[in-house]
Amino acid sequence: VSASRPPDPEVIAERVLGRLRYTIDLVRPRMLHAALVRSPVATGRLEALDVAGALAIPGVVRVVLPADLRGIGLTDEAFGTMVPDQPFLAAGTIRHVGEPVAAVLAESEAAAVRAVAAIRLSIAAGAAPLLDPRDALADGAPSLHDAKPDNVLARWSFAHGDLAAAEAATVHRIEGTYTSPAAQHVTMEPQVCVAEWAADGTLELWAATQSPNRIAAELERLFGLAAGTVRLHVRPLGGGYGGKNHAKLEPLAAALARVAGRPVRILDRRSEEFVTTTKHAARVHLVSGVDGEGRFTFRRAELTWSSGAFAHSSLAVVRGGGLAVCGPYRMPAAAVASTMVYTNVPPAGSFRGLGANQAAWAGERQVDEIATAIGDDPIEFRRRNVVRAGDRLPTGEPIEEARWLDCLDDVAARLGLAGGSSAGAGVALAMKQTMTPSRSGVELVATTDGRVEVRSNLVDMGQGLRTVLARAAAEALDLPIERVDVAEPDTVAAPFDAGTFSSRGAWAGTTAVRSAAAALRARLELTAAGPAALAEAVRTSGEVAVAASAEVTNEAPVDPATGQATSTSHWHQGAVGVRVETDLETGIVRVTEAVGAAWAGRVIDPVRARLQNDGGLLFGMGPALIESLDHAAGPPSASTLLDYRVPSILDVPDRLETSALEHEDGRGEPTGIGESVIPAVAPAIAAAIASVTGRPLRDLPLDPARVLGPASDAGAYDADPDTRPAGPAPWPIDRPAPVIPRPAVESDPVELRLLVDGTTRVVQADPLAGLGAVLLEALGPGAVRQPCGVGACGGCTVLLAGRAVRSCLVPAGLVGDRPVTTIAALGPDDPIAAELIARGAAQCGSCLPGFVLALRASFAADPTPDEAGIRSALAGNLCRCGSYGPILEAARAVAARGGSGGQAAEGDGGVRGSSVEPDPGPDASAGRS
Amino acid sequence: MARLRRPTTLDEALAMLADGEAGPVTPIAGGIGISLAMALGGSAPTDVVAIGHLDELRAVERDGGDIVLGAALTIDELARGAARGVPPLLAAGAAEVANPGIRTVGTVAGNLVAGGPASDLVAALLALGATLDVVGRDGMVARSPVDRPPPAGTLVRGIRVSAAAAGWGWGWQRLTTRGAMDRSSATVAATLTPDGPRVALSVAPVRPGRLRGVEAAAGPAVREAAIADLAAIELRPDDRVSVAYRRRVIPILVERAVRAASSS
Repeated sequence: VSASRPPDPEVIAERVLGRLRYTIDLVRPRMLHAALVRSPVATGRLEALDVAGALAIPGVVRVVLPADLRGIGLTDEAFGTMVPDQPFLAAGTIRHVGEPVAAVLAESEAAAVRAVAAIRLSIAAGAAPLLDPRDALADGAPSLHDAKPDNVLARWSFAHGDLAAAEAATVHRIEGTYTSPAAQHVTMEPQVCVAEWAADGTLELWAATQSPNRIAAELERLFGLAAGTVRLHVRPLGGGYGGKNHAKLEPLAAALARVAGRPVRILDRRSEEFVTTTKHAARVHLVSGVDGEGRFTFRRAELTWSSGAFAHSSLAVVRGGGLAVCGPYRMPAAAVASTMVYTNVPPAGSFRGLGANQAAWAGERQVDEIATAIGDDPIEFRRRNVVRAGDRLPTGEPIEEARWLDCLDDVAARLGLAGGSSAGAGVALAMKQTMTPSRSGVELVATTDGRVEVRSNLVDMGQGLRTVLARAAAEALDLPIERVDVAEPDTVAAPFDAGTFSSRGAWAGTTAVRSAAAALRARLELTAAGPAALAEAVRTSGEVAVAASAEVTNEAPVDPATGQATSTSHWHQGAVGVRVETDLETGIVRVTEAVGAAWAGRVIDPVRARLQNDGGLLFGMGPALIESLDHAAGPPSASTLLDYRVPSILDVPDRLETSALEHEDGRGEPTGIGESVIPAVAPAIAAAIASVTGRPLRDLPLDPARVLGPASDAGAYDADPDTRPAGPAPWPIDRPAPVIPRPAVESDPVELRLLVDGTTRVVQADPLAGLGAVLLEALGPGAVRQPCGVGACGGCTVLLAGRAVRSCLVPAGLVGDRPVTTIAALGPDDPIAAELIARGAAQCGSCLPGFVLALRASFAADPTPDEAGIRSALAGNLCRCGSYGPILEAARAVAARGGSGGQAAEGDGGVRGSSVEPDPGPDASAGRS
Repeated sequence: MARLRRPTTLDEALAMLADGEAGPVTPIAGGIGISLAMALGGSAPTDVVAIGHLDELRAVERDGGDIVLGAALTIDELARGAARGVPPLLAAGAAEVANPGIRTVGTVAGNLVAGGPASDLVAALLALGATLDVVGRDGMVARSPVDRPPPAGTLVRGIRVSAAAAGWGWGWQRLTTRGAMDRSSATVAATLTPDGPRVALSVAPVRPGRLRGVEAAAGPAVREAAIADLAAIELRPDDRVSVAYRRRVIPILVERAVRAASSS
């Protein structure tokens, strides 16, 4: 195992201190802000829009209707990087709640959003929406797309072995249907892009995307541009998790910019994220058999996926899920049919785990059911059946590097289950293919000052790829890492890359860098180490800069027995084990221990490997226990982070451990690990619960009613229908209609004087506008973040008179003369920031300033909190990447040293110690209007 | 035209609340409730009076056998206020409201008024036998129940609770499935007073209230009494957990809260 090496401190520090600027922070000169008018209904035809109210709002430039996109030279009315089926704006037929039907362009985001709320839509009612694939597949169901009259977007299947013989050899047979609902990625930075046309007709974009080359190519197709001319830049992402894969807002942004003749930015508001992309809802029907010795005889699987209204990455999901559903087991016969179905719900896309999550939920759940049915131990059953090197997978293809048993043994040993499972514990295995074939190019440019620039379109989204690339180049060229620069992805300047997903980036990037470095050495005839030798070699060549590039491709190996290419170049392999406490009276579950093992081949960076694996476990816990979206009522069941809940720091198991397993001889190839444990999380938790309750669990999430199962005296409770309030409650609670962007505050601004980080800022603002929005206006993009807007994530935290507050929910007019502290007041020597940086405790980083400030306020009030105090101080801050572990460790280290030292940042206000005294409150004389 | 006014005294605030030129005047303290309503698409109030800073609303006072907790004390101050006489049940309940960044700003009265039946604290206050001290423009002071909006034209001045409540046994149960920042789907509070137990349920019911049958029951009969009480209570719809599930589980929460109150 490699020595622990913290990642590049600068890369971590700019995240901890909030200095990293993401695509959401980008401002282009003359940029217009687009806000999308979205359909409130799932089906229908748009007949008219009344835009008069919108056009009357100051700052609104125009409203773009579908017809306005006809004269701009588009080669296709629909876009899609896999299947071009998505209209830029729904010209007639509406296919899902939230589908864009028009766009407002305005000089400010606030004006655009207000204008959207002022537009009146006339929509002719459509057919009953097809919300479930079963409805869409029914005889006589209307077609979503003419090209697919039966609503089947894609089928993928395989059959292997002699099923009839296998069924004949079967002693025990089990059958079940397992469901996974839709879910949402909840990146702290939402979907965002800016498109800009140059006078010479070239198109340039800045987009928060995982697949820059793929989107650039799609834009070239749509606008009839020469290949390789669309220039797309990507800043580090504030979270990806598959949600920023494939074209989403970019084609519309480019079209709007063309219409307007000015740069156009589209930013999803949080509620819009839930109608832009989701995880696929899936229903998996499985029949499995085992022989008298507890060995699999066969499995038959039918997977039915809800693609939503458009394809996005569904072609990859229908295959990825089908490939994984039989699991990594010896299975003499298998037949799998995977069907992707168009439905009238928001489009589903890739989601960390890509189909393997839904497949493993069914496949691994049924493994436990089988083991229980035949009285076998679930760990022993898996050991008996798991594929080993040289075996064949259920697809019939050979597998040379089979490491599932190592992963299983690792988690079993660490949970004390080496001899078999026990009540309250559960394990599961994960397998996921990687995108095959794919290619990644890298160019290295050496200069006469002894530096090297790495040009690659691999995207850093918190997994630290920029550091990985820099380190690989430094090692391959014998340079100190400070001499290596990694350029931002740029589709014109850097070679083609298939995209940063499928856990392929670290492998592809390091491999390509090494090849390019070898080519560069050869060109320069470089033999000595160090910057001086490099500079000399470049000078000797007579050039200012010398470039060399390389491309790596992955291809599936060919099965020697059949001559056929196999499914994937590499199988991501992992195992998860958990212990849970199940409240048998309420059905509420708490995961107390979670351990994961991922086959890594070789670990490049142990700190980041741990962050990825720990984060994967936590990411998997959300859809297992609390996350789901349904569309039964039409709009998504959640549209804010109040309704859609992702795991908090108090959901972190008391023990959370992951390991990245390496090749015995230390010469293994590094493989991706970002998705190797996620698919196993939900089935492991379900197995642990079922081991105590003895009840089947076949539907996600594992909410308490499901865990509890039907009431014993069913008549008393279950017959009770959900009642609606008969009359008005004393305080009616209005449920807001989701989806439509919210109007900004409309009243007249007043002058406010805010003391921010020691400087008085005079701003014109509505007194009821959120402090965060006012600070953004006054201090510039990125100064504070507003990830959720409803006080539910903590990403917007600032200090007000030393206390941590949610800047999104504090009216600016109430601040008075109380000092405001933002993350900009702190430097790398701040004790909390320093601990986080030293531990490399950052992935995408967009949540971290909120954590730092929340901790700062907490330590000011109590310099030596106990564990409960630390956790409760951080209980309001969400980190979707799941860096909670090192954040907690950093906080503990600060507490152990007696707090943050009481160092006051400039302008840090009031509170020290005594927390029971009332807050002095805003000075009554300040800011009176 | 929108305006935010900032009075210096409670009397001034009450006068401002009565002089709305065009439509209602909205008092705000921390501003959380109104900001959240606006973020969720509600319309912005046009005439707002800030009251969170008024000294008269931020005191903890002894009044005979009662303690009056100022309406504009923040929820965080309540959570940390045991040393100042805040009953431990109320402190424990306050410590679980929303999240730390909201508790430092949001106030107890704001939680009651903005949260209504969805407020956890209503259950705690009912179980403590608390009432609201409300003041009107004419200086009229009155007591108002904690589970109703204060009368029109009045402001909540404080929460009145027996000083003896600090010594009562208590129990507190919230129905949540996430470790932090989860709104409750049902909240039960129980106290053991010298006159017997007081048990209240909020969030889940359309109208929060005491569970009289439970209060009259004892020991093993508590769960059955809760089932009977619940049969007469209308529950609100909840996206997370069904009415049927809550009818099944609330009696268990009641039993646990009562048991905790009896043993603390």
